[in-house]
Amino acid sequence: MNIEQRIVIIKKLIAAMTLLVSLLQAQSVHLPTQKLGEVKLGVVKPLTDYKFGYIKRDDAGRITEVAVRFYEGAITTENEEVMHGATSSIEPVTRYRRTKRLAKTEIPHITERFIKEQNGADAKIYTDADFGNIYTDEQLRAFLNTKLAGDANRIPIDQEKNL
Amino acid sequence: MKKFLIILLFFGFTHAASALTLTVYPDADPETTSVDGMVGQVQVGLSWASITGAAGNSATPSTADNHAARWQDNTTNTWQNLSRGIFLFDTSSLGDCDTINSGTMSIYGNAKNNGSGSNSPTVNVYTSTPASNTNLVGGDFAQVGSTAQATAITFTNFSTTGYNDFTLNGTGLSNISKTGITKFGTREASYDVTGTAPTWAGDGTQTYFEIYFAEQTGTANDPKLVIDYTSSACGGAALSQESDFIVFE
Repeated sequence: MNIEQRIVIIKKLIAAMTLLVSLLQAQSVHLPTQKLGEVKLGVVKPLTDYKFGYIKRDDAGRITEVAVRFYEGAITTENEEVMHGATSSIEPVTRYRRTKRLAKTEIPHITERFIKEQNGADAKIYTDADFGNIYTDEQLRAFLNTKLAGDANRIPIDQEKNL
Repeated sequence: MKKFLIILLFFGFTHAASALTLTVYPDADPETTSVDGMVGQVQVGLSWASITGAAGNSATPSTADNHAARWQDNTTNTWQNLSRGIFLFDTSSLGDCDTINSGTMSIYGNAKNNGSGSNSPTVNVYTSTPASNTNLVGGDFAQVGSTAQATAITFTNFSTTGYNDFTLNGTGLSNISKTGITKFGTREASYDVTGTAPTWAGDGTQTYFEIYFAEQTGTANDPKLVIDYTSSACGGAALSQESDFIVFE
């Protein structure tokens, strides 16, 4: 083994050790209930979720149009009032909290028809041309979960993943 | 062409309009459209008349579960906490000329407590006029009305594992906006609204109806307003479904 070959091996070892250190540093920020986001070479992606704006149904109960609000957030711990039967106390509560409503330009994987709600926020419109003949909220969630999964920059919350 | 127009006119004026349904949800924090949350008066040593008539000094628009209605006892025959709920819905997707046939506001129960058990609390829906459509402040406590928009739900009948449905009466239906934000609230109906002091149960004891607000994770527990309506084109024939619009195009 000549000197050049030895230098190449040493460089590969240094690169591997650097990668290992960065991964360990990223893992150290995880919260116990759910990861803040996916760890990829030290980059932590934020979480994302959706909420219904409105759902329209025809006279047969078939869903014809839906307005959907998309959000970005994280699992954080903040003090909130917690009830204990007849009494309550202020305690740290760890849960998913939304940090911003996502605009159309921030979710490029979701295209085409958006509307402006009151105050101008973007809501995505889906119709039966998108999801076919469905009747229940559960069927609608299954459809929307697939849309949420298409976000390359964020991780869906556990409750909005299709298993 | 003439035959086509005749068919159109026949269809437009004879096709019976059928009921459509719109389900609307408040906007979760950080709100940009329509807030929901709890407002209250938190102050020790108040008489019942003072606390129910207070200006309000507490607001929590960003918690996932909180109270649609609540009171907390303080020292003998005084109270230290009274809470009410506020629920705003963007109902502007209704048409200005649509006819509203019925409506139901639903809140998903999470917990309840009846203090010493000697009172008979109930909860009902009222109008609200918060200062902002996207945030709550303490002063909004005094902006929840006192005219019932539905039939009150008793403590016994209040579900803590599912939706509690308030079928809107005529007044409630007339308060649904077809062009903007519909604003409702919740109050304890038997004591808070009437001004009748409840039986004091002990310092710190709470009586409450706890629910999930729009901040709750997922979409299965959010407050909602379900409106049955007939779609109508202003000045034209009644339309029954989206396909009718396509015919007229």
